[in-house]
Amino acid sequence: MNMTAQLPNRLVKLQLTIGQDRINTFAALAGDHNPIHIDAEAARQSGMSNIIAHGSISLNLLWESIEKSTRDVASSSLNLEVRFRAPVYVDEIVETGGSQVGDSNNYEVWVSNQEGSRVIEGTLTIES
Amino acid sequence: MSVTRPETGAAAPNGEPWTFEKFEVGALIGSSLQRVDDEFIKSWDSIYGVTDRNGSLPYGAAQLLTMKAYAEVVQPRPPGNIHATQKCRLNSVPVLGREMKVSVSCTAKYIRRNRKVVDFSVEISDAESGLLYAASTLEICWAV
Repeated sequence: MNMTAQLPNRLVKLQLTIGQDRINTFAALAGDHNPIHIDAEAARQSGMSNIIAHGSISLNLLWESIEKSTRDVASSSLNLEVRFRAPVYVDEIVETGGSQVGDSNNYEVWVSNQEGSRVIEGTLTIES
Repeated sequence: MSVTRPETGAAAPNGEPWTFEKFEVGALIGSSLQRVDDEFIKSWDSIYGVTDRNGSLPYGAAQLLTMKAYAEVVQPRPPGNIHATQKCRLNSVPVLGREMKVSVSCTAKYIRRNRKVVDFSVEISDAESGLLYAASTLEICWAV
């Protein structure tokens, strides 16, 4: 999409505590007011142990990491494929990660929770 | 926030919740017109922290608009759906204040390991840049 810097070996690590305030702000932004994101009882009725965060909160943290890591890299587009592997509960801490596959323009990318379990994982391809 | 108004579609047949059976593969479900403003940036920064972007929008804005349009257009939805996977391509970052069209289509539906799965595609475009972003597969495990 712009610039000329070399591909990074790793993506910038970003960490976020997903508290209820952030969930509420995101719900307003996305227009997604599903009660499982605001009401513990509604979440339990859906089989969750507590309020769960929107998956896109974590995914967008990954996009933030991608942006900070590739802003100056010459590219025509970014292709991201991800799988949501596990829910993120309110007040959990998530962290992004990403590493280049060999010297290619492909990356393994992920978001982990505070236990180190990956809640999102996938691949990023930077097309020049 | 962002200004949103449905353009087409936006209702399941008979106004009842979308069920697996009602989705028509290959059909446009609906679209909305969206515009991102300064309030959007303030809210975004309150979640992810302030980043100096020289007036441009965060890369993730396209992802957020995708989910916003999906939530708005595919209405009403039954509770219990699960966002499973996503494939997307970011060609260009949305521009602050510029109107964008976000279109949502059903691209596939199938049963996988006894689960009903519906695939959607979401495309964001504007008049000047064309296609900004495409979620070629937004895979949702559908509850009913």
